[in-house]
Amino acid sequence: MKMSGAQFCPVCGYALRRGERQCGRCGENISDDDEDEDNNQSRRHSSLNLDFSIEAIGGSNQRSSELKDGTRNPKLIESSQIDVEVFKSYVAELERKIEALTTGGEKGALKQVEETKRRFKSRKDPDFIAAVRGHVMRMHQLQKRTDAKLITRSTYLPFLDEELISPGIAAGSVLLFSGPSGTFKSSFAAYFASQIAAKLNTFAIYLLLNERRRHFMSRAEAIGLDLDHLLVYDLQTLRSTTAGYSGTWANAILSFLEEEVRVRRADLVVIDSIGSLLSMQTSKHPRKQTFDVIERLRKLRATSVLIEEGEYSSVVKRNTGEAYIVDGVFQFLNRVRDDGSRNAVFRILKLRGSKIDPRFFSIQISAGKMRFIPSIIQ
Amino acid sequence: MVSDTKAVADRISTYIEGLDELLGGGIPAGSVILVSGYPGTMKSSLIFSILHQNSVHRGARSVYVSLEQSGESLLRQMNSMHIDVEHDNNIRIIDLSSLREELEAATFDETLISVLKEYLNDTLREFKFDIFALDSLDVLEIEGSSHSRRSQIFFLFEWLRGLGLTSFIVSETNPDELLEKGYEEGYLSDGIIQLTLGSSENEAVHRKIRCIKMRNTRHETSFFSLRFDEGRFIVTQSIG
Repeated sequence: MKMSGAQFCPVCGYALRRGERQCGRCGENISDDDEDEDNNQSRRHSSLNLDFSIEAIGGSNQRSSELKDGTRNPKLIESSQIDVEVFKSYVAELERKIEALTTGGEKGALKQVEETKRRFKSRKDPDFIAAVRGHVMRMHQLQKRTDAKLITRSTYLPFLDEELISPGIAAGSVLLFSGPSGTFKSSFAAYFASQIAAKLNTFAIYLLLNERRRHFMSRAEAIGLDLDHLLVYDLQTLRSTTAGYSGTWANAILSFLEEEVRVRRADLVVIDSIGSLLSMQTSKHPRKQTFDVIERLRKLRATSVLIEEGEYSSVVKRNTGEAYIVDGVFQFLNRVRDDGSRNAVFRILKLRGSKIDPRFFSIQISAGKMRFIPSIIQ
Repeated sequence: MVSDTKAVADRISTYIEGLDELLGGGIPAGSVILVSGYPGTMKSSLIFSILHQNSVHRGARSVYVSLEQSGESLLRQMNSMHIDVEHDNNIRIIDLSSLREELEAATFDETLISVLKEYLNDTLREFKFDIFALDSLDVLEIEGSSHSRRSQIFFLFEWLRGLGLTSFIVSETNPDELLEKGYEEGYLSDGIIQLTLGSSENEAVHRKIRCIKMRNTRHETSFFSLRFDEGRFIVTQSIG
């Protein structure tokens, strides 16, 4: 919108001062189309810069600032220091890496980031009104369908201890296990998945995106856990088995997971960790991206557990929003005893559709089994 | 004690023992109230309890718009908590999770707010309701628009007030941040109710509630205990 003569906000009609770039009444941004384009360009670059994670695409969990080919990881460089052309070369390089990891070579996620939407000039724009009306009609259709299928009969997976969760976990739920390292999240998830799979006489799938399988298994063996019904896929295995799937690597992993759940008739899936999976995608809207991944998991016939590294207090502040989107949250933490020793405990913060015991529990392991003892606050 | 009679003329009763007393009889009718809290603080359940009790006690109709959680999951959740929303014909759940993808792919930057407003106008014609709930504001704003955040929230709140609806808007932002960092919804809303878990990570799950702001109401701003038992919330003095 060009600024000449008396100007009014195109949205609320408020009179603007000369040169004003934001409406004083409704806060609408008033700017030239050219400027918008410039801003869009800079937003796109900024978005790309924040979203890429080379170490996750490459599969390593190390925070290295040097890549194998000698280029620096753009994530570790301040955006103000990046020359646009240099940055473009990073983007091109990343696209090549993603394509190399996927067969079919679609660059869907990357292309989406660069798309911009047509902006309506005013709320009275007939095209805009027609577009909104089209969506409203669609909503009416969706609502009719929703009203018809709102039946709350559910099947529940039996939890290890009925005192903690009753009547069990609603099948198809997505749970988040959150806590710092060394709090038994992974072992708990592996044991929980394997034990329930054993009860159902099926298998549970464990996707290990952070750690090599042998390290994980040796740790589980050292604790003496019974994981007979667990199928563990590590990153290296996934690389070879996802050949043939198209899209970004995260999509390839999810497609692979869908196929494995179907073929193995798995009832439980563990993803270790959700942070690694999300960092393989690029999006302007991290929350929407998380929502899409979690919705895809809900559509599996299996119940999913997502492992998340970090204190819960910081996890809830992440812009990816997983703690809000999932159906259940288990918080793990280390409690320091008076003598300085540490005791790993957990509590269930939320679990949609189930009755829970909200107390802290410590985990005891003996003879390959886990037991949960209410933890006394000191 | 909870009153069984219709709330004071210009106030909507929450029918939550202890909370109505704290708010001088209830929430001023026609207000836009933010209900803020981290996951697991029972934001949705508290709101559904208010909608259901208003339906039971005075036949009030309401609409609950969910942007992420499916209607089925919400009903299952409320059933497990003995809040019988499933058989309550005065509550309409609108699940917009499936529409978000469609809007994402749209060529115009028509926002979810524009579509939602139009849809609610249609709904009001055949299902006259006076309480509205939206879960959550944080999801609404991510839908991508060239219009400023302040602009969108300003118009949404003004529009809800214009319709005379008493509105509960779920917010996932900590109220301290809302006010300190000057988030628009903090000062554009008429009231802010905060729900929290115990303040320390080493504390067992102990839920608390406080009213940070409520226009036209004299109220305390300290935390109170929020207990839930067999489908009913109770607010009592906080211990410790």
